[in-house]
Amino acid sequence: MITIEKVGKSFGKNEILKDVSCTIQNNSIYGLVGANGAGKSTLLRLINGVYEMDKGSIQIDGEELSDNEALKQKLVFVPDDLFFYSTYTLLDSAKFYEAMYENFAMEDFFEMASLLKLDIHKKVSTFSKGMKRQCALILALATNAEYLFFDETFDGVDPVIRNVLKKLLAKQTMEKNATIVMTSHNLRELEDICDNLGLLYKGGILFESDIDTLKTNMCKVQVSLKGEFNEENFKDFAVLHYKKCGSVATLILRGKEEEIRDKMKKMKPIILDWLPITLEELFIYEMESVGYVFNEIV
Amino acid sequence: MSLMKLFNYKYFFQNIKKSASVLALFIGIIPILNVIIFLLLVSGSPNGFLATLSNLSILLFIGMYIIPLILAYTLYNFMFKRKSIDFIGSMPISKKSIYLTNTIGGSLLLFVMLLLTISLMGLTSLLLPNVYLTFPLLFDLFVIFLVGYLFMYSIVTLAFSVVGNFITGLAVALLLLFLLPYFQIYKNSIVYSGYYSKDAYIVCHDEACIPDNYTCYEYDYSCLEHQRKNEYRFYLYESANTNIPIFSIAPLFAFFGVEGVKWVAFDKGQLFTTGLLTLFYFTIGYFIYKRRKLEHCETSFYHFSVHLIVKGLTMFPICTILYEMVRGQSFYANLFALALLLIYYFVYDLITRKHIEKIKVSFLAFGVTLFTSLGICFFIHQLPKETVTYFASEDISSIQIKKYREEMYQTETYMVKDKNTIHQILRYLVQGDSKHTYNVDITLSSKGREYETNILLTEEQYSTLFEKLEASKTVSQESIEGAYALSIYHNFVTQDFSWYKDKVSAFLTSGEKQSGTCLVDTGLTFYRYHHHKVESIRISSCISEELQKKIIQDNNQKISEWYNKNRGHFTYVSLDEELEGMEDFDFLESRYAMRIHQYIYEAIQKPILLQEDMLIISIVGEQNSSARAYINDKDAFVSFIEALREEAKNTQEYQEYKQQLEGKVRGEDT
Repeated sequence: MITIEKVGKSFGKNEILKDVSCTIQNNSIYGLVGANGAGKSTLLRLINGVYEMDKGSIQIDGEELSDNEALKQKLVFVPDDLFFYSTYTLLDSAKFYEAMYENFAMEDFFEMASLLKLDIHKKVSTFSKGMKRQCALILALATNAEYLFFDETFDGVDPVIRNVLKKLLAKQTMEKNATIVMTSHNLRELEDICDNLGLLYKGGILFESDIDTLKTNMCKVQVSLKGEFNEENFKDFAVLHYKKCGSVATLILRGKEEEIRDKMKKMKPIILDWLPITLEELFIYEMESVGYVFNEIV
Repeated sequence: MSLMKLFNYKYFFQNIKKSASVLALFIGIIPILNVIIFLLLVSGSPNGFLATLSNLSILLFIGMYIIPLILAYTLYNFMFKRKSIDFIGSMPISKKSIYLTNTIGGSLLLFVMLLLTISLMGLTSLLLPNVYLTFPLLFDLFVIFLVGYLFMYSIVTLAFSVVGNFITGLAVALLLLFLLPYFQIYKNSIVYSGYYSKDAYIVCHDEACIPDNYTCYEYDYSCLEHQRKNEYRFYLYESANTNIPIFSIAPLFAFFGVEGVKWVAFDKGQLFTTGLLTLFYFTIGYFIYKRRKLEHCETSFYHFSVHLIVKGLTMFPICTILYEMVRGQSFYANLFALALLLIYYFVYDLITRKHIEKIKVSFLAFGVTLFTSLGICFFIHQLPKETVTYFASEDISSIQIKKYREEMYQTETYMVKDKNTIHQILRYLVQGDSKHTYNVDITLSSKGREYETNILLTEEQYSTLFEKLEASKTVSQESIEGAYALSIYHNFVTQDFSWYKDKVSAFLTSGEKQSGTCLVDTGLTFYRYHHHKVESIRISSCISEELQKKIIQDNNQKISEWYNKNRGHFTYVSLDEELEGMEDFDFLESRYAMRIHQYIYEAIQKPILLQEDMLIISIVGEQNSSARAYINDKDAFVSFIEALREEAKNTQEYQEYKQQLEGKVRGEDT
């Protein structure tokens, strides 16, 4: 488990993180979202010991990271701006990781490289941006580290490969009990893979929740009632958002689906459709409910 | 945690592997280049190559500034780019482990490279017949450069530990290396400026030092007045106390291009202090690196104030140079200098930080740096200057006299304490012969201080003085036994020279005086590697006739071999003594060179007779290599030349030459 408490980091007068606190549970995929410059990359660098925090503490499995080689064996970090030695082939890079990580599995690496059809004998510097990202991901996965950190995880990767990579990440958590922290400024990228989400805004965690709870506590319905109706008709519901178009209204409601369904049926609607709710919508309305305009945040 | 636990060889291997070209440079190019230079040097010495610390150091010396810098950059360049910092910084390796791995690994790499370079040089020397090289010399060379390379590596490592980009690292390394020596040189150049060609006087209370041939110009009343008081003028160049003390710490500080090679010497004290300083720098670097924030990269320093201090220090030498240039000049010259400094100050920011920041603070810092630098310059100019002008001859306790020995590629210093020789040198010092050939540096010791000047000597004075100095050396049997090379004139004997060793040893043991008449003193010089330097021991060939004969025979045989190998490549022949009627020898030599060489070649095949008259002929070959041939039967040689003259005298060229020669003689007469 990663426990972050009141972490602060500044560069000169520029305060990037202030009093960030959050907890990342083991064996889960944690998504960290935020606009560009929100401090996502800085937070990941602090967790991985690349940067040193000005204040606060970060503990991994109850231990402080500071220059702790044994603890660093449990972590692997793939930054947004990837780095490979210019003279190294993918295989050379794998050997580098093998030299550095005790649990690096060369077999896993070969398997994943083959799955992604990456030429391991080719210099990584000659690969495209997306291919470099794939290389970095499979190298990180092959380390078998307990905690994996990916900054702008799928940047430059095409949708097909993105799905393959998501499966590989999911497999890592399921089969190897890994904990993955991934950042993105795009919620859609994370919605079908993350268990938990944290929203970083102006150097602090603004909102944090697990996606299952969010999804079970919010519904999106399309409803039409006999005769004229408006938002007042739904005052018994916890309406987060109401929009009427013609005779059909779309509502985002907080509450358990079963309870809402029972209550709606009692209103004898002409139309009652349950629509899928996206992670972005969950976030938008959850944020609006606490007074933030989501589009200004992400 | 032990050092070896912190040495992560896997990381080091990968760090080196990523720069295969650098590895090639270390393991391949440097040792091979060194061998090539070595071969060039050897081929440039057809009469034999006597290895010394200096002549083997050329590439190693230059490499001392470059190789550790490249190595440190290879190992630490990840710190200068954000994305490589993310990569290495997140790896399971601690900062102290990175530092110690790079320090130990880098040092080992330098060790291996030097070992390879010097071993290869040693092996090459074994394959070449004309090279004189001893194992202790190679070992000393290895030790000197290992210490030097590690020292430079420690400096660059320390510099890279504190900076965020390469260019600032280079600036810091240069400051660590040269700022202090520069300051000392600058200070000395001001404080001792009066010494350059300063008039000084030797006061001769002792008649022995009064020169026989001292002249003042007719109207130089000051000179005449001094002469009346037995004060004789000479030019004092500088006080030897202006030596740069920090040079004694590390040879690296004494960098003046390839000239610096001449300072390469095995000095235990120097090596020890350099070693200590290396350890100190490595240790400081360790503590700084351990606390280093990796986020600090792509800019000069984390703290702007440190950037300002370092920038100010780099400005100091420029400031002093400009100060000396524009001092006392017009207002516009000063303004121009100020503008140059300002440009430097802000261009430095652009280079090291990519932008100019905190303009107000920068201007303030510029002002402070400028006034501090100018204050230092001003203060140094106010320091009292040395004013010693009169040197009583009796106060001169010793004189060091330097002779550059071409074959050793090094200067040999003779310490003269004998009063008679001191007086003789003082006479040379004040009378300075206008027909001089040699300009010899000397250092006078007077009342515990040293002063540098020079004496001008004619060929004869030079050889007389150095013969005397050589003869004053104590020659022990041990020094002869330990010799590894021997030269007769400039020719190194390639054969086993045990015969000579035995003869000279026997002579030294018996304590006999020289026997018989010495017709020709060809001189015999033994070389041994003693007290970490090549030492020459000159023995007069006059100690026995047998020795003289053997020397001349071996010498002639050597020339004979030389002729066989290089027939047709000899450039010049001259006679070592003036023979009557040989004024046109130059002409005949140029016209009938081949025949003259053939004559000499045949003459030196004949056995030499010491009792007969002997003619010494100098032969100059390619690359200015020269030798002296000894032949008997002067008359036969004169007859041979006469025959050539007979052949030539009717030619127009000879007539023209004769006319020119006569015209010259008439001109000299008038």
